[in-house]
Amino acid sequence: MVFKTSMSASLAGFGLKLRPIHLSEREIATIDAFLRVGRHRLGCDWSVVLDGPCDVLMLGRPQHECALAEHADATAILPVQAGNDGQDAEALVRPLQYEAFVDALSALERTLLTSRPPTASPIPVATAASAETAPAHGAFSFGPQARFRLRRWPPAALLRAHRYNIRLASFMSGRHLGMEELARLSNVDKVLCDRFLVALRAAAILDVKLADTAVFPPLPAQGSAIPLSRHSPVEHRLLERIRVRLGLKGRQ
Amino acid sequence: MSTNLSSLVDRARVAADAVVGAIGEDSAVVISTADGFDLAHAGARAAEPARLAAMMSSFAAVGAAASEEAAIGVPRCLVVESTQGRLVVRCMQVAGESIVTMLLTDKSVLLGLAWNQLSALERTLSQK
Amino acid sequence: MKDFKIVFTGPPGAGKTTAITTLSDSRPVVTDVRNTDVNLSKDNTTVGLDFGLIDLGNGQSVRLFGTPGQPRFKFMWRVIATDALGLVILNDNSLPDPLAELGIYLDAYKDVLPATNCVVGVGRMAQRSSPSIDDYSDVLSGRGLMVPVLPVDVRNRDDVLMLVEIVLAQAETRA
Repeated sequence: MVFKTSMSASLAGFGLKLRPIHLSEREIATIDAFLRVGRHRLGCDWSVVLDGPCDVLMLGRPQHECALAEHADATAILPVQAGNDGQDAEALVRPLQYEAFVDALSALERTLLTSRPPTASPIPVATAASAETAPAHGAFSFGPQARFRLRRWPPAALLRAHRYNIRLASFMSGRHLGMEELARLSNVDKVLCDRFLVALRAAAILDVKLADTAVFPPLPAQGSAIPLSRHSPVEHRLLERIRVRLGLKGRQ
Repeated sequence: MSTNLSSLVDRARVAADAVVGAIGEDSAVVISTADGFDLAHAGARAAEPARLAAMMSSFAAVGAAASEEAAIGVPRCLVVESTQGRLVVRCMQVAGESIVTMLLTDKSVLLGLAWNQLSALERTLSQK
Repeated sequence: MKDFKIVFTGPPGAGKTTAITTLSDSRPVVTDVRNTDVNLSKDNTTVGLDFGLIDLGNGQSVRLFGTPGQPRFKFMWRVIATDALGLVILNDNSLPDPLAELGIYLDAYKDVLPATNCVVGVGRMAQRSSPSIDDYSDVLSGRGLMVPVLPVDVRNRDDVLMLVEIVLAQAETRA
């Protein structure tokens, strides 16, 4: 749809397994379709497995109704429940919805691929909607390898929430940026950057990819688009001079 | 279109035909308003008069800006000398309207003849 | 020394000439002539181009170009926009169908927009609030374009500077 981004070589090793149990065949087919369509929005290569160890267990019954063995070898559990069950606020609701499903997997990617080691007992699932709490003690909501780009221009209300949001969004409109680069380019404190990123994720307009420690190069132009300018990329110094001349440098 | 321009259209058509008749069938004339609408045209080479009218109005406007910048008054004529022909553009004031006229010729036509014909066209349009 | 240019485009009356006048260090070049189009409620209209200059010193400058707005001058749009650092599309929300007007310019530049630093500025939203900025964003998103869009008043220098700042931010990330 909006971004036809290709998986970078650095993400090829990040394969995650999803095992559905106590879900109907139709629901499993739906999950397959969601993964196929949502591939460009997810940072990792997800595959559906029907038995054996997995990273995420999609559980179609309340956990207490399942045998321990059924979920013992899963790193995380993603509950699926009927809408009126009211048992788990972070569960996916039947019938499965694409956006909620992709958002939940995006949040799980962050959880699974940060420094937290796999444990024998399942860890709580954090869906996108519940991941908006402010970071504590300098920690941020996304891992250090995360790179961010807008899927679309944010809603006006979100931009109005803070005077720096337009600036941050402007930098994120061109290519994926890490937190360090975003803060440096925009001259905005990382805490504010993180808060904005969390808000963008909650609005489902944040595209997150993981990169290795190498410098993440700018994405090539989409499709066969040719830039207006045949010049080489503009020097940072010149851009700074333009900003200074226009009085944009250090604007609040 | 203003009353002045409306009354100008028929005279413009006759005048354009006269210039092509004098220069030859290989020529073409497009008469347009300063904001790029063609009023009349003649000659088979004026294949897309609407496009030519818009282009000539831009050309004339940029010429006027350059004349003003150089403090040399208002432009009377602009020439595009190309490898296979020539465009001569004349800027006129007719009945209070700014008019731009383009004459397209091949290189065998003397520039002086082209200017002469455009001057005659301007006189024709200005007649009541 | 290399100069750079920023191009302002958009329908007639959207404020291209005003925006350039707001930013230019010197009196801008304007090629306005009397309008004879009864469908356009303006006394004058740009038929060539607008030109302004921001002097950076050391012999360098940023050139500001404005295109003529009317579609019959479309041949000028791409000519003027060649080698531009960025493109500012100004729109007038008081037009009968502002989103369709935007579409004209998105179509005209469609082969270059995905790789061009670009921002859309929507004027006269105080006169008419619909379509909303989010509606514009939907149109851009629907075309697969990640282009910032903001409400602006081109008579306000800060608003015009915001548009330029967005273009510079995009240029910086592509650098």
